[in-house]
Amino acid sequence: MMILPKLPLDKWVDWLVKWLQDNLSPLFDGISSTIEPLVDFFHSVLTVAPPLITTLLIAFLAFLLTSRWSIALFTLFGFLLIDNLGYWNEATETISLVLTATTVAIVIGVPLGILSARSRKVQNVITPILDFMQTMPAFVYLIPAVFFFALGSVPGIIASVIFAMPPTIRLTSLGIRQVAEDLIEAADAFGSTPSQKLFKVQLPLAKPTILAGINQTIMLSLSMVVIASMIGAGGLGTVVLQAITRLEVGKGFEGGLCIVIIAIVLDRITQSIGRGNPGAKKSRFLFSWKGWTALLLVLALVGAALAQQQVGAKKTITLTYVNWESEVASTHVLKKVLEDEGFNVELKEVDAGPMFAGVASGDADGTTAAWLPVTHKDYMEKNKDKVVDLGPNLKGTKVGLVVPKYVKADSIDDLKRDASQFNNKIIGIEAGAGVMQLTEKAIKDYDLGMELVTSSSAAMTASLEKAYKSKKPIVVTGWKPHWKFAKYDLKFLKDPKNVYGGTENIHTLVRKGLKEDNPKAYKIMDRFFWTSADMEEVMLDIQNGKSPEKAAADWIEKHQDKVKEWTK
Amino acid sequence: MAKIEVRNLTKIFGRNPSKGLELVRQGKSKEEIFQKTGMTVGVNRASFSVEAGEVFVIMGLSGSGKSTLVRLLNRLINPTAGSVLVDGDDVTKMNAVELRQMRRKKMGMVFQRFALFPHKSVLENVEFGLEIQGIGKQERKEKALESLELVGLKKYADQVPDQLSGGMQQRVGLARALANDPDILLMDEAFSALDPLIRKDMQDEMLELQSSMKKTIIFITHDLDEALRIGDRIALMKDGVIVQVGTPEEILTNPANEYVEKFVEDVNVTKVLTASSIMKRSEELILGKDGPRVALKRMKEKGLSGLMVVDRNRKFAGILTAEAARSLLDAQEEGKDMEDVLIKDIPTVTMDTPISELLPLMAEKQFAHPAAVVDDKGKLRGVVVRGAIFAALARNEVKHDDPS
Repeated sequence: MMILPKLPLDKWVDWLVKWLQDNLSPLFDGISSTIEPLVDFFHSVLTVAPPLITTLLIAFLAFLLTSRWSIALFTLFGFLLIDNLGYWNEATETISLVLTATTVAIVIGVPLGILSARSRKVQNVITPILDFMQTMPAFVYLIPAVFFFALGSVPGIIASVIFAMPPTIRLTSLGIRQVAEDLIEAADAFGSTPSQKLFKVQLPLAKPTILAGINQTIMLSLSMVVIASMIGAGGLGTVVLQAITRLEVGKGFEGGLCIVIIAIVLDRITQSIGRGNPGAKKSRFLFSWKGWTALLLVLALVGAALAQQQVGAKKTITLTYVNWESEVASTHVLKKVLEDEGFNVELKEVDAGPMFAGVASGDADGTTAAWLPVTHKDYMEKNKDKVVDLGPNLKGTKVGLVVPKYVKADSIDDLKRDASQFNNKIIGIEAGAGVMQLTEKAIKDYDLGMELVTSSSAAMTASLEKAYKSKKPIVVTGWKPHWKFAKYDLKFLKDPKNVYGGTENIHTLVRKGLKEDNPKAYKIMDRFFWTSADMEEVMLDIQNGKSPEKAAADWIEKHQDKVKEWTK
Repeated sequence: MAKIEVRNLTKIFGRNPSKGLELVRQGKSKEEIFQKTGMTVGVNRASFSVEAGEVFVIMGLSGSGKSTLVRLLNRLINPTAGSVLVDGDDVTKMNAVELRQMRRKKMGMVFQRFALFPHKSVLENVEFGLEIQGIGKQERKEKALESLELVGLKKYADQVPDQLSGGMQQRVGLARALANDPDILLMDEAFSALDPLIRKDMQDEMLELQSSMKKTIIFITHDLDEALRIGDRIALMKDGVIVQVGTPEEILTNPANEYVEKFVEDVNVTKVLTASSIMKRSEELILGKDGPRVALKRMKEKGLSGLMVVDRNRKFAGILTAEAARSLLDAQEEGKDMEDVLIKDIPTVTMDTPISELLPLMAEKQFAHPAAVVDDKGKLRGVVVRGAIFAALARNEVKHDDPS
């Protein structure tokens, strides 16, 4: 009995976000410019010394903070393992993100907690907001965060702060409220001012509870930072995300293990600080000795990091890409080329939408992954005034529905007849991919009545492989260039209605102003051009177990003449 | 002028205190007001005054409003109506700054559960009041140590409260209140959380301290024995109303109404009545002045079988029985004087020894002899005979007739 039409809630939220974007951009920029340096600062502190030295220092610091050998040893071996697995850089990025998110959460959360402890009104206002913040699925924060802060670490941190701050606020408030009534009375009876009462009685007594809240915040922000890798936050999250999209179980496990190690280290250290060391009678001398040493250690690293920042003011180019095999190949090749030319290159792996948004906002310098004119048509239309299209870097791509050669169907029209053979399913890839939108259209236009299954590129190829081995019919959303054509006998289904367009090209897009800011990089990106065959070479290498960096380097080694064309 | 003057002090907990106040003025009881409005009357128009240097005990069962009353005095709870004059200044009209000053300088407080700060050492706890006044580190440490010495805990200064026993913790609480050197001490059931033995020690210690400090003490308790032991005057509360104010003696012998009567009828009189209140003046012989003949003559006159003997300074020397006096006369031996035949082994007690302690002392000697009551200089003041004790025990009920 719906008499009312549907409320256009989504429209309102969209409108609100747009309005905020248009009117509050200075605020968002301000936030960005405080958070960004903080992350960089933490990161440079962690990476200024070689991993081994940093690990030793962190382990020593853990010992100073907790006075427990077990924690120090775990830290030492855990971090050595991370380094050994080759994720040191990602791990330090993740730790920097967590530290930044936690710092922001404490700076905002503890005062809010104090406020809500002191006034019932504030508490009544804050509590429902906290409930909302904690129960809203974490992914939802990522969407507006991208709109307001584009791509990169900032939206990740903002989302983490929103997601992770509630425990700090709640437990600060609780800890202060839990201080025994007669102690508060005593403080009053001796004539304390409200602030004396807060700093001399309430906060010291609430400290364990507050630290428990901060500990929770650290844990939550760690989990959120991992999720935020979807919008280019970087760090170990990217490793895990790549493993998910490419179905690499081993790599996913490694990334997950590194995250677990970091989580345990952070958890034990903060818990230990919260509990204090009641067993040991505090010798003031010892305590101050520890405090000073810890301070000196940190200062040494900070100083070194600052010194390094002065020196290493290299130009950084940020490339963003979608995690498809084709784009991994091209992006890594371009990255290597730029690095050989003396640039610092940062990669941001995101979804198609944020990829365009990132280049449009200038948050990323460029991408080599725009499939035009059809696949990414919608995104291009939205952003065409905000990006510079440098033209194709690869010609002759094709998207469409792909079946193994042994399948009878030859054209999309035939699918309708054989739909039941395929369980009425078309195996697709990531929801945001252009080919998916086209396939939805194809299902409508050809009236197939089949279901399009959303998964990932890797899951799609895994399903294809499985069906292929047992000679089962399967239909997938496919595109060329792709190594699967080299590996299996496949064919594109004919497309009489031309839903998928003919052949397409992959374009390089850069942000506006790159030409002025960094003409050299602009030139290289402008000239970057290769063929499907080149690309499939790199893709197969990666598919057969080479790391993308290694595969790109090997290809560049083999094709020096081509590369010279781009860089001359 | 009295040190503290409380007039019509009223506290009503609830949503609409002014309406409650109206009902209180109409003389409605706490129960009625609660039924009608759901508001609780904490204190109902309390009026009393406390003199400087007096130990004023506020007593009542739990829920009678005594703890609320004491918190109204230093405004940990804001009164609904009435006034509290301390040295003539109205506490209820003070602004935050004046109130803080008053709390810092004039009123110390000791709490039932000690309320020591667990994260601070004993010394830091005692310093607390001085610390928030912004007094320098060295000076406040000296003062705090003095205060700790007063309660005999100087050597525990660096411990934390959790390492001390309950009695010690409460002494720290007392030291903390004394460190500011306030004129007034508010003690909210200060000894209720201690076990009975320590409690008695603490009461003694407090009375000891009070004899030298001469502070004005407002002491809250629900224990009548405690009130009778330490109170100069006692206010008895019921349902927020003060039903009687008077000395311990007055409360015991002249209960204002049924309630007080019921309240005091279980009191063990033997704890309250002291040797001085049941002793009799006794006939005395003076050693070296009176001889055995005089002694016998007096015994005959008074119909006694023995006499108390004191020296020339009226210090108690012993008892001379009729037999001993006669043996002195019969023997007429030289060199044997009165002192050799005196019975010295009799219970000697002070003026304020409670009867409850007298009994076992005399029972040990099969009540063969009376007990001698001496004052603090050792001079004989009187004797207690067995009959007097039994009479007192038999009187362990409130007299309804006029005590004439």
